[in-house]
Amino acid sequence: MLFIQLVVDSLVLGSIYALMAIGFTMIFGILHIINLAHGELFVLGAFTAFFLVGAGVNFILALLIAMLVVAILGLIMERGVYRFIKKEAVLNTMLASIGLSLFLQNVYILIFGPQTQQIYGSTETINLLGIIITWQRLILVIIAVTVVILLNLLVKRTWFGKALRATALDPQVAQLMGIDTGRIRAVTFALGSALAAAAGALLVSIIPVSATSGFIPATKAFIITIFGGIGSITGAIVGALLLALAENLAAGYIASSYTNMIAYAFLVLVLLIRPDGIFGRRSF
Amino acid sequence: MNRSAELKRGLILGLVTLVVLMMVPFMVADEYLLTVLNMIGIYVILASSLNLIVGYTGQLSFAHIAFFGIGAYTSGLLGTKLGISFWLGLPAAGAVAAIVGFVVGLIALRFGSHIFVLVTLSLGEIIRLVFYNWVELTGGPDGLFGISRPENISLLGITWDFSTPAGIYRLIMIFAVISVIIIWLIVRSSVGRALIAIRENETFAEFCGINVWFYKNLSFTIGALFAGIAGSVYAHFFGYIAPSSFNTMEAIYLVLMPFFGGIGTIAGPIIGTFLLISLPEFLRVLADYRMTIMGLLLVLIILIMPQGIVGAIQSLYIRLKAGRSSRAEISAGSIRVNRGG
Amino acid sequence: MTGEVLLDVRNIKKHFGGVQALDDISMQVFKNEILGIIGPNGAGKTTFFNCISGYLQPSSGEVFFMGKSIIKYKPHRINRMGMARTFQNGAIFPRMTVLENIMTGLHGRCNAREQIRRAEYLAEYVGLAERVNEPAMDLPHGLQSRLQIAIGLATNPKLLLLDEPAAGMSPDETRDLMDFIAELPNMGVTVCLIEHNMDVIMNICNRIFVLNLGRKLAEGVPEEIKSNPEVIKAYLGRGYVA
Repeated sequence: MLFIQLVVDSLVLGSIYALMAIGFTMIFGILHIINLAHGELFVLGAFTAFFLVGAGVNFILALLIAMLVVAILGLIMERGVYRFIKKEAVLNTMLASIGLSLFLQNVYILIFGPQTQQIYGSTETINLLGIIITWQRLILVIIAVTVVILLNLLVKRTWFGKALRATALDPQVAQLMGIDTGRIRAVTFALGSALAAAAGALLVSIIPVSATSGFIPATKAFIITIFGGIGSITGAIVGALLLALAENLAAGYIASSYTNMIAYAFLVLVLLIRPDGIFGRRSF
Repeated sequence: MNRSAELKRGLILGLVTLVVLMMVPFMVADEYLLTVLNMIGIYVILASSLNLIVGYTGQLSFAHIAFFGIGAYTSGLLGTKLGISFWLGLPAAGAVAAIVGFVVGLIALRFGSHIFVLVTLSLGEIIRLVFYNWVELTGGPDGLFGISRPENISLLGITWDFSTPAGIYRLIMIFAVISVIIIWLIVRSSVGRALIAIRENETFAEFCGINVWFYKNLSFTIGALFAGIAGSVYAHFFGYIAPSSFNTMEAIYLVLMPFFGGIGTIAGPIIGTFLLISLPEFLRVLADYRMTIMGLLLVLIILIMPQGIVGAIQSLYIRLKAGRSSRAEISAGSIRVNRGG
Repeated sequence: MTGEVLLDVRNIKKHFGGVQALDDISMQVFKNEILGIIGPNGAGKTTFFNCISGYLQPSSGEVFFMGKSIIKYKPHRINRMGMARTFQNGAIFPRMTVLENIMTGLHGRCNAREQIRRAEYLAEYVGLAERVNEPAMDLPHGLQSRLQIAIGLATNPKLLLLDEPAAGMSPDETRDLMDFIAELPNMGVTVCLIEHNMDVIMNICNRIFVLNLGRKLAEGVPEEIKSNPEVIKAYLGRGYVA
């Protein structure tokens, strides 16, 4: 019974990890940017949702607005900073993202203060076949799944999605075919950021979030991305669920103080066995 | 200028610096100021040894702070639990850190730039979490207390008392200067030339007969050794260590030191360390905004001056003096992507 | 041609995912010859070099260098055995000076003072004496090519693999290069040369090996290759006049 309960909890946590990871892997795969400030986008999504809900806005609407706000921030990041760094100067990009992360994190502390916030909703639970789950968490999973399905449709069925994949495969050829790769990159970054915001908004409805909460989710998103293969959305989803499962099982059967170590150990083990990730596209 | 003249010049510079530093306590009695200088001295060892890895092989490592922590805990535990003197604890700290560094290197160096960063970060965090969770051994999150100052030693009839601020300051400065000189000698040597070649074009270096894997591991291990030694000095100076001194924020801060000053140079890490430690102290009034400014500064530097301060000046110098043979150092420029393995 | 076999390649194949880049290639390189490798773009020439120099491992087959099987060896080890190579894109050490570049090739072979001496000699030998203190990235492509050769020679090779050394060179430069390469066997350096420039190939190579789509198309002396109808069809194009 404990096991099934843990699996269900993993689904909840995993959905959030998945949204973070998909955003990260998209940005990494298509723009070749490791955005270590991804966590700060996540936090802004959480805070925006928190304050909107506090002002009486419906949760779903708050979520959407949060996604929009953070998408704009993402746009500014890409056009204002990353655009000017050469793609090959990989470590410069990483260091710049660290700079952005430090800057944003501390701006958040200055504006929002260092305390944590959480949206307190109803704690009504339902009992499904002996498993207890709050309505809130169930809705969370449904929302996450919806977002992923919509994203999938966007990438596979629309013109934008095709342009996206073309830009990822070969930017020069894409340009020759009339695709404005600069715009695609900017929009992709905004999209990835919006997903991080969604993750943040969903998380703050079940767990407290503070200005400095961004780093660990960002690191996990990075780990999941490598595990699932850079640029692979499926890989990100599978990796996210597996990581959440591993963490919950460890917390349930061993001790919760070791939870954070799981992600790191996870990564190292995976890389030692399959250096290209499970769904490995060649990582460079 | 030929090699032996260069060597002499460098050693004299080091000696003069050392003498000047030794004089400082005669002019400055302020204990706080000496403490800041001590921190700079310890971090110079860290930043310079990190530079061996980052600046000369082109790989960005976030595990360095963990090696610092291993050195600190090794020496600190040997002192508090087994009563072992600092003078034995120090080499032990270096050795343990080097061994751990070697293992981490074996795992992480297989991978190219991106994943290398992630793996070093992960392994570094695992090490810190061990400090944090192994409460019986390390004291857990509360840390380790009561680490004693190095035992007094007598040299040439003079007793050196390390319990005084001046005494410990002088010891730290000696360690710092010696470490920088050793690292400088390594960079000038055949090993250093191989490392520079690896940074400039890893694939081609391999085809010139340079065993890239060996040299990467070597620089990583040597770097870890120095970090361990710095850790030991830190533990016995402060008297107290805790896992929070070795977390990711500190790891990032450490990486910024050689970077701000200019990676791939000897002076760079020193200048960067000096700036990053002293400025926040002197700008106390801006304490709340310190990290905000730091982040902003970092972004700006990447956009405008990716080689760091020293590197930018050096680049200019090399261009202007293209006729002069300068073998000592090569400016950093932006780090290139390295393929793994 | 008879003589000591320096490099013995037997039935190597290399595939990447679904693409068969090399399909059952066998060849021998004899001591002190200049062997040319030609073929249309995508024929697998550079992949071939990659497979024999340790950069890639063949999917199957064997490679013997001076009698030893080198298939599992890393590039640095093969280089120490006596094989050096250049790269198509002018790979050098960009921010090091020309002299430092050549000295890198001498790494671990003698002390620093000797390295400087030998590097200066080699720089002069390839005609880069006036530019020894310039950063290598400032050199025009043709001179970078010469620098690569100098670095390769610094490693004291018995076999030198040159990957399109004449690319980007003017006719005068090309002629100098040809004379230069032709001299190498007299110094005890065997040369294996990938080139698109037919003048170079036909004039200085003892033998030629033709690759097409990963397979050996023909092998022989220049006169034979020139008049081989298969080669003409696939590569030289009708109308090539010697």
